[in-house]
Amino acid sequence: MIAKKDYQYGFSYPDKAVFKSEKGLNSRVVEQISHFKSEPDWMRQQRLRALQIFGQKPMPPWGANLSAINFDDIYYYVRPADRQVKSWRDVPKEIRQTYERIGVPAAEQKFLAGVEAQYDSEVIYGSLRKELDKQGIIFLSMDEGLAKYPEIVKQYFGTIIPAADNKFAALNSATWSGGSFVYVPAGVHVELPLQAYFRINAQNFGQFERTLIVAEEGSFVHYVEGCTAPSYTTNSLHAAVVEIIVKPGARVRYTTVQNWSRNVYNLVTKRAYVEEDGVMEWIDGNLGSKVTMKYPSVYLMGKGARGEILSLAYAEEGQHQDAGAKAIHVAPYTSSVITSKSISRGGGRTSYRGLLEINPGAIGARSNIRCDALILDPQSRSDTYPTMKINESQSTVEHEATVSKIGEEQLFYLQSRGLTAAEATGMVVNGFIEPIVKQLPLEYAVELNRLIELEMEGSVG
Amino acid sequence: MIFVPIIGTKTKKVTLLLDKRGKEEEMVVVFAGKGKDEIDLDLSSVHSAPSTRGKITVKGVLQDEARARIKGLIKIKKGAPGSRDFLEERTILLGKESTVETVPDLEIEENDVSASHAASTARVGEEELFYLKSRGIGEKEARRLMVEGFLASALPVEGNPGKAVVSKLKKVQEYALD
Repeated sequence: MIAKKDYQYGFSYPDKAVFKSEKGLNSRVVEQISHFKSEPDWMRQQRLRALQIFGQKPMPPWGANLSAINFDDIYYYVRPADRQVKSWRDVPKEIRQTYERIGVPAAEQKFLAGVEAQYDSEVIYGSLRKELDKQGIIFLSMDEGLAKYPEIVKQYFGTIIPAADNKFAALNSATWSGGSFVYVPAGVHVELPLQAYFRINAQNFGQFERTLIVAEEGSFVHYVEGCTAPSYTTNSLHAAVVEIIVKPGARVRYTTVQNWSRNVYNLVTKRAYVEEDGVMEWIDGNLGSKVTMKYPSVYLMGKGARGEILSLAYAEEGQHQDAGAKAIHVAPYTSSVITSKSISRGGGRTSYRGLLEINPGAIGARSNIRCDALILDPQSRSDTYPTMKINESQSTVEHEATVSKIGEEQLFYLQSRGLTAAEATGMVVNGFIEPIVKQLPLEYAVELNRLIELEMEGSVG
Repeated sequence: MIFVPIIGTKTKKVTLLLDKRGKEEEMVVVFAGKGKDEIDLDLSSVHSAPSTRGKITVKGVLQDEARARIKGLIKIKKGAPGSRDFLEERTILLGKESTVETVPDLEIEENDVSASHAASTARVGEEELFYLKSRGIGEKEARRLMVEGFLASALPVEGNPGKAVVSKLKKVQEYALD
């Protein structure tokens, strides 16, 4: 039985940052961030405008309880130094065991545990990089992207999610650092998934990441961020913004699995504009954090555009996963499919929050939404808050949701075959989330299944 | 069964209180709107005692520029294990400019329960229409049959709904079609 009090896999390394902005947020801090990054003036101006908007915007009146966030008690910019390398032996035994159990490769284990400053992927990445360059694909950190391709960044940055979109988008626009910049030229298919943590000097676990992906006509890219293995951060607020532009006939798949330590408020705005016959796929897994509010969106702007969103949420004691999806149908013959699976256990709370809008003129639009929730014990809670606004009569919308516990019969059957209660529960839960897990890259799927089994061991008996 | 027929502009709020062990409630709402009608429904069932059963079925038809907003909620509070509920919200949009907003919420604080909802919005199905026409039924008549059948299907399959309910249903059907 794993102790439930602390974040069971959490750990930290000594803070050796060379520069920290002062605590709290004001125009001086924002100027400093921009200065340190030697940004062009327009970005500095944009940051300052966003800061003003942040000050004016109210907190969202709906969703999870955010009252404990103290904006004055946060460092908004920490310039990373080379991390203090500590010995693998110093990493707590339970964490090493978790990594072993879920099968994280040795090199990756050390990176996650803070033993190595970077995931040692130079070799893999070096050859990958050559391939990418040959095809004209840009895959950089947002900071590098801005420095090297200011004209592309300027053209798209903030156009999909303007600072005024919501309070946390404004916060990100004012203080962003890290994240990825991806540009795929017309007709180019990126064969391997682009993984955020293959990027050298990545500030993977940044607080205010900003990601921009532009997929030109007829191109394809799969972007993967996060990891199933638990990641530790001392930052209590993570407010990222992800903007994606899917040009005509292009297809973008974006996979996220977050397992933040359980002190983190994870408040993320993700949105994609999809042009004619384009396809956007969001695969969004939320396992960690204290509170997550995240609703990946597809705006279907061009005729025949398609959006698919798979959302997976797991909440334990002290966690509230307020996750979901949005699909906005603007053009005719657009289609969307939303599938959500959530599991709550040990007093955890999962909420599906969704929005479907079919605008006038989006004739022939179709949408199918399915939300299933599993509640594993009487202390836990599950909510479903879907909103569907249908403003075009020539459209078809279907929505279904169910909330239930694990079937006694299923458990009985598996136990009669010799499985323990924990193994049986793990197996049923893995079966429940399988439609989403099978869309994950293989190594993630395997790790996730093992993680669920491990969690269930602590829950039964 | 609680039967709620709604004809034209109306705001209606009904809450089923399932507050005694084993209590069962079923509500059927049928609505029809046309012209510039605005229908605003707020329907919920709140379970606060064990082994309660609730069911809400809403079916409606909108013509012209009629609008409907259907807010539904199944709430199963702590202390109501063994409860079941099903919420269904289905709308047919006949008018080009008719619009609907459906919000079927679930708030579940117990695990030994079964709660689900289904919502759909569509036009009269082309395939069904085609089938009826292929049997020699004219388009207008086919539409009438489908709309009438759609609204009538909100009633429970079993049992006789009684004369009063049937005649009220008829009024909604007539309003929806003329």
